Amino acid sequence: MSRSRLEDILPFLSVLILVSTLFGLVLLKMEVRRMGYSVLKSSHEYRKLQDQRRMMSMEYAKLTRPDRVRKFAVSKLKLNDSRNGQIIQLAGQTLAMPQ
Amino acid sequence: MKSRILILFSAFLLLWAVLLLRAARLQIFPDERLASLKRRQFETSLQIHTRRGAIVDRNGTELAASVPAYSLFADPKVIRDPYGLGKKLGSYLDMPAMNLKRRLRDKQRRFIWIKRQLSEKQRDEIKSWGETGLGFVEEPKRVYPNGGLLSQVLGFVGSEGNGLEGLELEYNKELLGQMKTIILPRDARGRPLLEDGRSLTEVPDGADLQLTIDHEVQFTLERELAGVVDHFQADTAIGIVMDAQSSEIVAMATLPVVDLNESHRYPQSLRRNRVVTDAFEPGSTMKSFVIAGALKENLIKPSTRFFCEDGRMKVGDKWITEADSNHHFKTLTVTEILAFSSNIGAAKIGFELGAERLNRVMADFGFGAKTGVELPGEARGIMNPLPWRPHLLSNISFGQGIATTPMQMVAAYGAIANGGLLKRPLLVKAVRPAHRDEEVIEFQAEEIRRVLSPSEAATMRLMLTAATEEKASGWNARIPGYHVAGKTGTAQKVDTVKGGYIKNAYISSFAGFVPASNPRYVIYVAVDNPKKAYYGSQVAAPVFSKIAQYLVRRAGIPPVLISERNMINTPAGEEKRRSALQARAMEDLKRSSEEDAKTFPNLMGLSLREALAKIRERANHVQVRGSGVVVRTIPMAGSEMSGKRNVVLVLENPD
Repeated sequence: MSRSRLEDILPFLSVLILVSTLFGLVLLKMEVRRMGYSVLKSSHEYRKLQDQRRMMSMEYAKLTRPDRVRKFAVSKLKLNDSRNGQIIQLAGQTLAMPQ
Repeated sequence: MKSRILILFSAFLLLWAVLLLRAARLQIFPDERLASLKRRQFETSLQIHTRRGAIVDRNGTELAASVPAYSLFADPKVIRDPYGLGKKLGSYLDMPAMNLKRRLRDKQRRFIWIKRQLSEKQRDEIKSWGETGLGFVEEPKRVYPNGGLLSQVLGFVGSEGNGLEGLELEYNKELLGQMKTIILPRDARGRPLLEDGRSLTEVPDGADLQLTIDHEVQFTLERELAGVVDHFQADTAIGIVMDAQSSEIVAMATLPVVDLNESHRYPQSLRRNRVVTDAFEPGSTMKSFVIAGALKENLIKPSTRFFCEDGRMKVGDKWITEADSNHHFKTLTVTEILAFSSNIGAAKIGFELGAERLNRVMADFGFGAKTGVELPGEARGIMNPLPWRPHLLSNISFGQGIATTPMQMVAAYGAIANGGLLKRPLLVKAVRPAHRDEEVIEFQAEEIRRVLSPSEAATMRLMLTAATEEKASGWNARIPGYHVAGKTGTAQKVDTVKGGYIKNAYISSFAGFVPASNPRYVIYVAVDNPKKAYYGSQVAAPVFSKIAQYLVRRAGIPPVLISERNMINTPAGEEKRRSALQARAMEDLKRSSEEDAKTFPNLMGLSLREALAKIRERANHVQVRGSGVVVRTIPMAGSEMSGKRNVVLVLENPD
């Protein structure tokens, strides 16, 4: 390409680059906005899941409370408190003794 | 023509200059009215509810936590059918419909609360009706999943989410989350435009509190205490289980318990944590410290004999007697004084010590001062100032005329159990911030002071073990297979209104530790005003036994005593055989402490005088380096000693 021809298209190229940069900036700004909405939605979801986890751990704690487990063991499984002679203590290889 | 153009150009230029100046003024110089207008148009504020931290036990089981709840409000002005909505809400929320209808018809008001703290399910159901004029506000709700478990220790929060009692109050600052408000730019539809997403996820939630409590041990303690309250028709019962070595509180209970989810329904008197707030006369459990003090001052040995005056002794112008009027002891050794709980024997040891030294011993063991446990409202107890009249001195020697809290008693018995160090009991193991990048604050029991040398503490443990042997007052505290050390207490209740004692009202207690030779748990049980029996040996000692039995099995501590109860197919009732076996086991325990005498003792932390007293008969020549307390010895503690040898003591200042 001859030098004179290059000089002819340079103003157009400059305008093109300027316009493309402007468009790029606008697109970037729009992408930031779009991601902002996405983060907002995800953070709401995150808080909701955290709350759900808390609710479920509370539910678990309620279900495994010692008095409930004991009541279940006594009434449904017909278990009783251990008495002397019913427990065998295992301590190493030398001692095995019911108490 | 040219001049007209120039004039026009100048006019435009002037106009633009005015506009630019105006714009510059608006941008550069502050104007509150415009700034607020801008904020209203382009900014929105988001309020984020932070969570109050959870309280968990030593294994991470939740004892208290905050969950989201939804409070329902109404705007009566926009409600179309207040009559129908009132009926529907009343039926669904189990509220009086008439009252709701009347409030919903009040068109003058724009905001009324319908019901606070509904569940998510209830909120979704009400939302699904599609009624106008109803709305929800998210509010955290404090939930105690175990109801009444550990109730007086945990405390509770008020409707505004602030701790009002117990740990909820003591650690309110750490537990409390903060309401976070974020100002964000908004779009044309009012939606926030996020610059940084972390502003929504990084919320200053409150820290979690990890306790030293084990919720299963707590449950067992409360169950056993409830059993004794029920069986003896007692007013209340108190119990504490403490790790003997680390001084961590494993369980702490005041019966009856309070359902924390309904705490406002209980009177204040039931919500009080009596383990730390109430001081009462301890009774004979105090004798252990009188004897320990006399032992420390080298005034007595376990075999020293005292004449116990046939059960009646005159002190000044008053008579003191044994607790049981059938007891007419003549001469008892110190071990027997403790085992049979002789008031006169204890009083005579108290006289040997004298008022000033006994006062110092009591102060050393922590009586008359707060233990420093992390609970609000801790009492100091009552210690009369010196001088003490002889009668008061004798009374204090057997646990009257002095008031202690159960927590002080446990800390003091803990010092005997752990080898002589008084430590601050520990209830909170760690404060764990909600965010991982923040530092976890962990706590450990602080050593307050050395109150007994290791060998004096070992001697006390042996004597307290004898106090649970057959015919001794603590016989009911024994556990098949294990040595138990402890002391019963029976104290008359003080009449705080009229003065003196309340007739036929007692506090029965037992303080001790298990296993006796290498203590793992210190346990204290007190039963307030039992009606069917009142001696500590009858009321509190059996509860101690049950709790201790559960603890040693749970901890997997192997039994050391072989009795007929431990053996399969052995006929029960072989009294002779059992006695022989137990006597042999006691001999074993004594032998093990005699073997300790053949090894070089542990002198760490002792002053030069205390250390020299210990090695006086074992050392040929003692070389002392430095000053302060012993930090190193040659030979090392536990080294075998055959005859006398040269000893080097290295001392350093404690700080």
